[in-house]
Amino acid sequence: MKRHNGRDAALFLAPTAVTYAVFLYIPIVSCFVIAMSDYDILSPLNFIGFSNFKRLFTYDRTLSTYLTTFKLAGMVVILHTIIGLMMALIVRHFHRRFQSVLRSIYYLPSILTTASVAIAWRYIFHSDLGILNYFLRQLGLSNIPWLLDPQWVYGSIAVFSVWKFVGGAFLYYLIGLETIPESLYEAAKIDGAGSVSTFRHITLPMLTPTIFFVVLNLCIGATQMFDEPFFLTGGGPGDASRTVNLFLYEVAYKEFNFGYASAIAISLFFVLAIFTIVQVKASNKWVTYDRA
Amino acid sequence: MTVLNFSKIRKGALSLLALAIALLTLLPILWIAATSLREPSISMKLPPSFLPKPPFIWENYAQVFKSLPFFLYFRNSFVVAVVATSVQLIFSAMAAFALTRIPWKGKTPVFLVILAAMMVPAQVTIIPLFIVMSKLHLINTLYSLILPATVYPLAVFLLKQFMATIPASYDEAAHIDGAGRGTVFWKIILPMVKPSLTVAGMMHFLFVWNDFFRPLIFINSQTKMTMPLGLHVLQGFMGAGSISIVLAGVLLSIIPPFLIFMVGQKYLMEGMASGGIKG
Repeated sequence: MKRHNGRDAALFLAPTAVTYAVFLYIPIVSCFVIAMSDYDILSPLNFIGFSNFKRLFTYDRTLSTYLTTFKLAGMVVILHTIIGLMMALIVRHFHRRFQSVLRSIYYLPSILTTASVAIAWRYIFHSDLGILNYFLRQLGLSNIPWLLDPQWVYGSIAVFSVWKFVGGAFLYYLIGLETIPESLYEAAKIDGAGSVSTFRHITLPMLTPTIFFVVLNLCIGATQMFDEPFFLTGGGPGDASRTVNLFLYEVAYKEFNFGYASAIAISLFFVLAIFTIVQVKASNKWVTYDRA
Repeated sequence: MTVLNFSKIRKGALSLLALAIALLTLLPILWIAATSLREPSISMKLPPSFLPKPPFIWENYAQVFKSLPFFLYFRNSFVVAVVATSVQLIFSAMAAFALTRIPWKGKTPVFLVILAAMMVPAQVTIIPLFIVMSKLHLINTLYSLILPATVYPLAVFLLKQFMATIPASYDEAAHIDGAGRGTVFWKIILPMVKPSLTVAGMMHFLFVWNDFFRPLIFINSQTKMTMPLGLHVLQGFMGAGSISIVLAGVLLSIIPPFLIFMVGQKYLMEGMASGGIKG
């Protein structure tokens, strides 16, 4: 029975083909083209070769925003990876019902609108009137200039980011922990292994694929950070917390330098692609994929 | 005996730790709720409150609607999220159908092209889209937010996974009864993948509702703003003095995602998990 397979497949794929082409793949190519120009939306397209790309490596502000982004991302990735794992290890000790209550609470901030809660956190971080410093003073400590000091802003964004997004890493770990066969733990118990050595020799190796996945996801997400600095610090003080994405936004929509902004976007695209490739390659070496 | 005591102590310590983390997680939200009901003039007065204490100033919530077209923001966010999610779900389900239930060559490369879209950062497409939208006079319309949001590769992935588990005998039986592919898709397969549609739908709805970057660039007229952008305006408007009014707005804006989470958290977390399997 002939059923026009090719025609039907084309028909069913047509909406996806059109929307992906128009809203994704053609814009990607256009981004490269615009990056070769000094387009400002008003004057016609004028090509200037690779000078926008050259400027990426010579224009200090771009390099410094990249440095800021990597510093922030590194901090966020380390904190989420460790805290998320600790939370999952704690939660796993409880009965099913209590576990699911804790899971819901821990995951809740992850689904809330980042913009909304970041607006609230700006007040929480307030130096004199914010509740964080209020608690510090109650403990006899002195105020921390959370959003006002170029060093502390990293900590502030990290604190917010952990509160807001650690639920994601936590959930992945919790699922990863569930896939570790109980028999391995029983065998370890029989061998008289303590909890530290069980963690080192069973939990950690069995969890490496999950850790790898979490780190990869966090790297990709954190490198594109936008909402957090936009609402908490506006990139300040000075340029202290200006991420690449925030800088790109300003170059495009405050300076209307679409050519240069596109070059920044392309560079970000490659950085993320390199991240992915490096992580996949590295994972082959240290990830235990066979989960018995 | 000592072992038993030790494990009891450990269990107690773990419970305390677990509750402390839960408290830290909820405290900012409680603070938002409690402060949103305070008199605006003392909204930042210390000590802070974490549980609403009378007098409750419900006027703060009314003030949010009085000072800005807050209801419009709600409506816009809702229209954009519902329309984009519905259209996206149908398109993604059709693609997943073509990728799992019709025999043809080239499925794998097509699927990879769709999946690769997940890696593309929004910043790469936003400038060309902005230029096209402004040439087509779609800037400051909800179309500028809905149209690009019809692309959601994760939904194709989730739906394809699920559809692949449905035995081919369902299609065959329907074909023998004379049903065409459209009927099989609409009447048989689509109802069977409802769980995946729910997961992908909720995840996408949340994504669109929470998105700030696209509205920030495509919308600048008050009447077309979505919730997060409207809150940004409210903050600029009221942030200096009356933070209880700003926080009232914040609380209102997180109610829809919160409700979705309460209703569908089981599905949502499953969706997160299956998104994680792809590694």
